[in-house]
Amino acid sequence: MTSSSPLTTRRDLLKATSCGFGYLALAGLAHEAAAKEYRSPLAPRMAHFGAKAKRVIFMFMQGGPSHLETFDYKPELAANHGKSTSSALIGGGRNVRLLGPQYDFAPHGSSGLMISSLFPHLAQHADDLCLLNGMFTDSPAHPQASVMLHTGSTNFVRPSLGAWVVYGLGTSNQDLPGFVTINPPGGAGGAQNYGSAFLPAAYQGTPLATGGDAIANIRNRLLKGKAQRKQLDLIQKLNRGLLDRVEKHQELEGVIESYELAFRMQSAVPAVIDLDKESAAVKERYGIGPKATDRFGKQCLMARRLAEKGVRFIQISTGGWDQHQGILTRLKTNCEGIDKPMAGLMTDLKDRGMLEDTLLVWGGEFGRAPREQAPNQDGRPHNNRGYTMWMAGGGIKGGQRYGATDPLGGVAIEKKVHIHDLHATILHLLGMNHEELTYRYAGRDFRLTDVAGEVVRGILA
Amino acid sequence: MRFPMLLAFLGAALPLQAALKPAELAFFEKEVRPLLAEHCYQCHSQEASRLKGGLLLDSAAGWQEGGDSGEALIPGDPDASLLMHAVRYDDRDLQMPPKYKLSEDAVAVLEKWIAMGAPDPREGEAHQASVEIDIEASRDFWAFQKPQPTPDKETIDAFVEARLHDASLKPAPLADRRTLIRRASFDLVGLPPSPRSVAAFVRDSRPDREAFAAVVDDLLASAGFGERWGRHWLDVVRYGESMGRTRNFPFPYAWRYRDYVIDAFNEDKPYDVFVREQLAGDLLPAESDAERDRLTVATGFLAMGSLDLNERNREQYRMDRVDEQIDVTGRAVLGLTTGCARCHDHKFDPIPQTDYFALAGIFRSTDTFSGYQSRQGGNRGGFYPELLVSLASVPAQVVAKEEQAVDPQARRRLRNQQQQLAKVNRELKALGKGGGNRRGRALAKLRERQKSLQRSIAKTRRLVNNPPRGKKNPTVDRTANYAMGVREAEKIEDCRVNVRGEANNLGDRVPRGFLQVLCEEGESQLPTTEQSGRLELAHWLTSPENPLTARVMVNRLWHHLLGHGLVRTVDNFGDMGERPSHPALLDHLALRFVEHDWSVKTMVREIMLSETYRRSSAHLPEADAVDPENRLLWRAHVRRLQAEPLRDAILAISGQLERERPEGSPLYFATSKAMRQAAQRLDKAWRNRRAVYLPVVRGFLPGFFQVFDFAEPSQVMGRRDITTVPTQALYFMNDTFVMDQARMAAQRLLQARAEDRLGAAYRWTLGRPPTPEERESSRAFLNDPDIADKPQGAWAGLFQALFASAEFRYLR
Repeated sequence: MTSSSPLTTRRDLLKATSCGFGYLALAGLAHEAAAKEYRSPLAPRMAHFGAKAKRVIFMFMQGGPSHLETFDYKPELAANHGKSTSSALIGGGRNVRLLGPQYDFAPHGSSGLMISSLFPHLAQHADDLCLLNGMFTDSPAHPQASVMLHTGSTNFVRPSLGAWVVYGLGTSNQDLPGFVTINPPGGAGGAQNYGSAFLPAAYQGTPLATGGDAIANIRNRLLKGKAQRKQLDLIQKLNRGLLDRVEKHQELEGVIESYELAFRMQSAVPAVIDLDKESAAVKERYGIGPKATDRFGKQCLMARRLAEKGVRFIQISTGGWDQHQGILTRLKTNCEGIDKPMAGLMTDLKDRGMLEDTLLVWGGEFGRAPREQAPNQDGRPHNNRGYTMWMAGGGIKGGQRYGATDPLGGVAIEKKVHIHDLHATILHLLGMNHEELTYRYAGRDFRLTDVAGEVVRGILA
Repeated sequence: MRFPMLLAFLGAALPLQAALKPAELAFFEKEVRPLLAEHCYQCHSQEASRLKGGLLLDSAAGWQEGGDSGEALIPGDPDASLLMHAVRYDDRDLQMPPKYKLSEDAVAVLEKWIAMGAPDPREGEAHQASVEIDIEASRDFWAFQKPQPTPDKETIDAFVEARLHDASLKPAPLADRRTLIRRASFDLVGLPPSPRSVAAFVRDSRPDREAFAAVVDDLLASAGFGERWGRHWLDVVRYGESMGRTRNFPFPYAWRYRDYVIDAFNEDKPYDVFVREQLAGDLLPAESDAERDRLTVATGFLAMGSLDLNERNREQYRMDRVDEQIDVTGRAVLGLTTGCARCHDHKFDPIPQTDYFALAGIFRSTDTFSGYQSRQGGNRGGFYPELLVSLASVPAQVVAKEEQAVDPQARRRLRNQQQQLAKVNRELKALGKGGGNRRGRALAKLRERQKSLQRSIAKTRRLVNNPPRGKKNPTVDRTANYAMGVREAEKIEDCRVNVRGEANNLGDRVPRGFLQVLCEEGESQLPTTEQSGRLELAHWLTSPENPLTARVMVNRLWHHLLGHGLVRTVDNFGDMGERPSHPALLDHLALRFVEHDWSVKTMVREIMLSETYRRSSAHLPEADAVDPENRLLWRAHVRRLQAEPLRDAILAISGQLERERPEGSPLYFATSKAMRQAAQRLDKAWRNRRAVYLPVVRGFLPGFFQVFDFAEPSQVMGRRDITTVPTQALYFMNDTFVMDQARMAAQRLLQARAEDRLGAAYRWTLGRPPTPEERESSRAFLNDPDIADKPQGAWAGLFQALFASAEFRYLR
């Protein structure tokens, strides 16, 4: 861990937060002598045990990308294309027709990992990828499944994965948020997907956008540096006064924190999001420029720059994966849009020696069924019972398929991985025990993994 | 291991109906089937009221698929089969049947059967396809029971105090008058109280409740009430001024519905009437053209859904429309996620798929006019006046202006630019001559701006005097006699079940009707078949007998006034929703609401005059330890101002707010590209209007709305997100809007006497004078050489700080 401070246990932290860190923060600001005692809620903290990964880049494919055309090789499905079946395994009941994979797979790397022809660039990193072919989740509906993936619950408002991670580990760069989400989808759970729920508001994800306006209002056109700090001091004095009167209020403490972070971000953010600082070669590597790959390329490059600066949890997102139709056409466009950028990101991280302690996670809220959406329709229905995500980087044993769906690709049957297991594993790789990372709220200790979740040992390096 | 399993699955996956030998069949029928039926089906069959372990044992497919613990049995290998472990009671954690152990003989039968390869002739689904929903039993669920009066309690406070008393908690004291009037003013009209009304209230010698009642009555009578509470309703009904999704075309007449909603709240239209008009206004009697039009506009409620215009399947599009209407009606009015029963019976609530299609028949027998049709209907970039409803009391006007017409946008721009130039000229004059680097720079900047404006004006003037042919951004006349709405379809018919929700996969025809669980046995079917049934649906929804409608609405009112609903999941009163914190109080309010003719204003007034509403937000450690979420209402919730009141308050304080309602909406463009520009860069006619009048374009909300958690306009959203992120802090620190308004507030302040200014700045923004410490730190700030560049600048800096303060952004 980056911190040299003594080990802070969860319980210590809990005590600190339950006294109200915002309040302490202000006490610290008011009296310089006391400033030493102030601990930002974002200060780095020791993990429970040795961490394999220091940070996470989570690539969220909103809509439910088809695993059958991407990372789950199913020759039996191809062989049975067009056949009617009454199998319950693939859902749909009577007389549905199987839809074979629309793209060919080939072995890649020394591991011979099967990857579809939609990912020619990413396939070059096959030996680093661990395909989780046996994923399953609770809901086949977008909003519920998306919220499940991000928070571990379909129905309740719970803190998001990124919020839990920053709550557990803090972040090493105090001038940037610990949890950043670039271009988060507006629907499908919206802000809940990067929310902090009952965790202190400081752990919430900060949304950024790609492009010139990555973050609005990052500069003041009149007040600079010292003068603005004086204005901010006045604001915070007013805030402290209010907090004195109300005494304890997590959200108000969050407001106070947000001003301090915002002030620091003004100098840190423009530098880190200015992609112009990167060479033409790097941009080319990420596919920045050509229309097809520009948007996701920028997200990937921004993610790398944020990772480099010590941001703990970075999410990048892209939508449009809900292929009820257009498996042949739209899916191809989508994959093209992310293939080169992801490969560029991996190459770049490798070159900088960062892949070994950066955990990459890729996936959507569910996958798609092996049958056609409707007679002769080039599409697949939702499928939450079997799909694929992949991981790479820090602590991951690459070049393998872990788990499996049935031969037709409909239902996870072997080494199944539930969202709770995924979350437990991500926390484990970051050095945290998912059963010990708890937060006491309303008389109960809450966990990201609720009362479930098992670390998927078979994918650990 | 892997190989046989693969075979097993292939067997299951493909219809390889290997014929069973007669002996196997006989053994199964005679020995195995009765055994399974007797000991297992209760929890492991399609008939199970609650399927256990996800395992079905009443079909071959069921056990072939296995349950939550994996494969149930491996044909040919009893010892490796989970089922055998369970029935043998090998494993302490997995013993089946759970309450008793099977006889030795029975265990032996199962063992033999598996050893034979588990021959099984039973067909059927591997999933519990349709557990018959037990409507009668479901009526016991709290939300489906009629609200019950509590004889010994008459007031809101009595209910709240009873629960506090049970928990041995004491509530916080009542809030002071300054805090209270600020809270009330923002809650009712979305604006800060004027310093004068604060002073009057503080001075009022009447008892607290009486004095406060006068304040509340004034606010309820203000036009601002409808603007604030109408917006709450617009959140619920996913109001948007464009289609959203794949082809995001504008809805240039959506504003008529918006204004209808605002007027309804201002007139205190009884809520039952309000709901009936929105669902079936076109079928209600009208005494004049104007009233007819108002009723037509009300049905815009059903026409405003966000649909995928690229949908190629005409039937699918039609059913998507129906689905959207069922969804919004169910969640907005009943707090039920009825839409979940489109593809299958509702997973959690007692809504069978047939109930969904009983409702679908009603909406399918209704024609919806949004101005657009789906791709198969041939949607082009423009919009179709013939796909809107025409109004009678508004004179017919030209809709699409053709080429050679002057772009009204250009005229407006010209005026705007001329005004800006005048302002720059004034500022230049005011700055006068003088030295100093800073002043020099400011001068240079202004001069540059002056030149650029002069150039722009010349360009715009050419555009106005000599409009180009074939404009790129054709506009529509937003005052033309069109509206969104619905009418009865020519063909009235029941709808057939869409199997798995697929529009072209038709099952049985379902007679039109309502949700069975909310009806008396056998009374859910539509009485007549002449009309669509929308009118009957509207009456059914608003019947005093309906257990949900009043509860859901009073809970919405409570949510906005107290910060959280008694049921916090305001749009979901079903099984996945929350149970009420104060069920008896919710019933009491629902009954009072109906008793008082569904008057929203009466109910709001009653809630606000309660001590529960008037409590301070003071923190009480004992109560906090027991009830940190404040569900028992021992204090007032500290609540954040939503985007609109936040913005409107700033404009009110700077003196810029225009209170009058503008006519229409700035979205009078017929193309999506122009619409997008108009939505994000407001022209001056709209800039200083109340936020409720700003265009709500799906996918292109103004940055301010996005940063401050405005309701997503494609979704039913009775409860907005609450985020606290640094982007909000940055908005207050750096955004041009905040800085400009702070400057204008400072200009306004300079009219006050110098010694009064500081006090006035606090009173305007926070509704109170500064404390001595605040006075001191504010003075220090104003006099700081880094800040006090010029008097107006320092005061602007102070206003900005006040706007940014948590106290301004929150109600306490």
